Amino acid sequence: MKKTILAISAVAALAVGSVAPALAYPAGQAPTLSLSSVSRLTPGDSVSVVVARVKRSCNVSLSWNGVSGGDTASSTVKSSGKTSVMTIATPSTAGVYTLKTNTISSECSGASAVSLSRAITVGKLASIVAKLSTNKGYVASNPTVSVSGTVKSGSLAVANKQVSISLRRNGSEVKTLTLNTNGSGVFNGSFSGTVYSAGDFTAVVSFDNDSTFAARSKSTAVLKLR
Amino acid sequence: MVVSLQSTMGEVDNLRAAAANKDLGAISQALGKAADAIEMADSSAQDPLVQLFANAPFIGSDIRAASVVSKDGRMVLLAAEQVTLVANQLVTSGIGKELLTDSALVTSLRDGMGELDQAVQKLNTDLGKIDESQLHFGLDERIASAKAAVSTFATASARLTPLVQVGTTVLEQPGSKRWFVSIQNLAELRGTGGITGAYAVITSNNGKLKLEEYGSDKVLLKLGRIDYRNFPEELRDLWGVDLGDWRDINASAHAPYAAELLADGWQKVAGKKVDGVLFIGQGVVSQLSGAVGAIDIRGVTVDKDNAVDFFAKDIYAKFTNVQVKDAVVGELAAEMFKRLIAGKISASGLFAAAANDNTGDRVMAWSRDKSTQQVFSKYQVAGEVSTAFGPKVDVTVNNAGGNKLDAYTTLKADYLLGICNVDTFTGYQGRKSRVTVEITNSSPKGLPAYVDMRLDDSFGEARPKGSNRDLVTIYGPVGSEAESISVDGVEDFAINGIDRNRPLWIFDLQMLPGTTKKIVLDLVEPINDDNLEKVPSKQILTGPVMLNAPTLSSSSSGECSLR
Repeated sequence: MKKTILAISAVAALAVGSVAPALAYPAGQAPTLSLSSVSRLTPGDSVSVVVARVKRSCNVSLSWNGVSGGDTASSTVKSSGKTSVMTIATPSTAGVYTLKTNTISSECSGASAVSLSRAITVGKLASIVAKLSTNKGYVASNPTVSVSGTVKSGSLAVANKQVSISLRRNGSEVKTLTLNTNGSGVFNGSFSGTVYSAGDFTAVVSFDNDSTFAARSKSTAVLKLR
Repeated sequence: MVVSLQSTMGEVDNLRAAAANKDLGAISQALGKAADAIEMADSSAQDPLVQLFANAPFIGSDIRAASVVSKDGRMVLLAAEQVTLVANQLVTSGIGKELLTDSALVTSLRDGMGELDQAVQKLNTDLGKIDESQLHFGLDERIASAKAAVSTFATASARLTPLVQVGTTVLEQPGSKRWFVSIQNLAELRGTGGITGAYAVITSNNGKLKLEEYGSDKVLLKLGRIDYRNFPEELRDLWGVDLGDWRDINASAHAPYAAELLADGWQKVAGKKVDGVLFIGQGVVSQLSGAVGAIDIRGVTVDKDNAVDFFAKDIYAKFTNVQVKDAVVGELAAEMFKRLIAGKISASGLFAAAANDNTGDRVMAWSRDKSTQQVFSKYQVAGEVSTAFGPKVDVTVNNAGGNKLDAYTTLKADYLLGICNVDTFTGYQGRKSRVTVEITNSSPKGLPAYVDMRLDDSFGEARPKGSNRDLVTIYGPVGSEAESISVDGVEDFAINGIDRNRPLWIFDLQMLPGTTKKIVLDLVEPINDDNLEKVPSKQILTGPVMLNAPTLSSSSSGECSLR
């Protein structure tokens, strides 16, 4: 039996090695953007960058995509095909940013014109755990819908953080609420004065970025009201 | 009890003799007898009275050793009996040559092989813990002998099980299915193994196989470029590859990416739908050489002992004319296929070849059908990069020199889980860890020109003959972040990105002949997931599919608790 099972792959297995190296196009030919260890950055920290595999004397510049007034850097490519180490300061608030180069022309890249980019997280990320609850499951009983949750970053509670809550029925916003986390990172509140219609309710909990934490948003599980 | 065990080992000797006759039916019967005999030993070993003496001086080691052999060994024999019984039935029914009438048998073989492999690996591990110098009554020599035999069996089983799992899954497909086989040349490394050096297209029609087409990569190149619009955009520039080129589509370690590109590419250029893709390399070839025996072509004999070296190294020196080389490969493939279909195979040769396969090759499979793909995933033959949280690290190598020098590349990788109570900036409770990769270029002098050529652009770096360029990629655990990066002890730069939710770092290394480079990547990695639940603690380090099997090691300072 094994013979035929093995035959499936055998035929071709022997055909290995028929590459014509002269036609080969090896990996790693295109320009590259390399960074030193870019994790664990706080806003304002600098990032070290080298762009490589670009023709000599071409200019490469760096900037933060969509960040007005953000830092920039530039360098002329050396004979090694690499720029000098470029240092660029990260934006002043936490978030996930895109670091990009100028468009490197086809003459400089040796192939197609290309702009290189990398997503870089500046500051810390925090996680949101939240849920919706109600005291009554039927809209005819005039229920109260409550939201509660926790904001944490690793083992640390994110205290005194303002969170925005968007209550949505079947995906459309019906009510908003602003809450603050307590010293344990916990928030809770109720949507009062609302006359509900039956449907699937979710809450999107979000907070803006600041000097420590990047913006984050998370939706709760569905709460059904009949 | 020890006497029962001695008797059992006698039955195993009889089994060995039966196996030499290559008769699956006889082997199955012999396995049954051995299992019966070992059951008696197992009953004795598990007797509470006997177990009382397991920690006794002098004879305690003997009882523990006998217990391991009898208990684990019985499981192996029972599983082996089942596998050979089913295999014999399938052979008798002309599987592969005839329509498959009972797919349950194929499924049974696949599941049985998996159980057998688990039992063999457990026996091998448990036997390895026995110190035969502490044994008496002649058990010491028998255990030492068993250790060697079981180790060989375990190696062969680990090699053959994925092959059977993939093969049986292909055979049990209903209706007509087309499979594209990518034959990877591990002498030029890629994320999934090696550059696609050749291909075959095989159809399975309710279990009946047929070779539809076969060719080298030059045929693929003539067919035109691959449409890669569906490939994840964020990955396109990480490895600096041309995804429209058939030879460069498998830079990512995630085999389904490359498989889908190959399948879509073939459909586009050949107008024929491909239902699945298989990836194989020189390691599988050597196993099949063992099955079909030596083949003589144009003054060259290729057998299980030289197949790996022949297809990775010697063929380039022996046949310097590329057209002749390709013809030789084709003739060898044709002869091998002819013998396999005709049933001219040696089970013992296959087993010996699998046991002696020192490559780091492994078969991988992808199916367009989701349920079939789930089967491949279940058996861990899908070549998928896991997106799940947990201490998982993958290491791959991509040849960036456009040569065949990775036949001489060796690699060691170590994954150490360190101190706890460190939060990640990505918002998780975490721990420190370190991934160390050492890569060596052992290319000798005097290689044929097209083995050690450099096709990558030169920027004035030193390139003596035998120098290579490799892109070493380390996939970190989900949510992990780098604290420091160094190469040979000096802080370095790496291309970083995300693939399958896994952060990765790519090191572009110029490898002079005879040199080793050492990468150290210090990480902080999560111990909880997005739901604040503790992640699985099983530590997994997956090495590259490569010609010279990588040396992998991992260790941990212990479990971390959530705060």
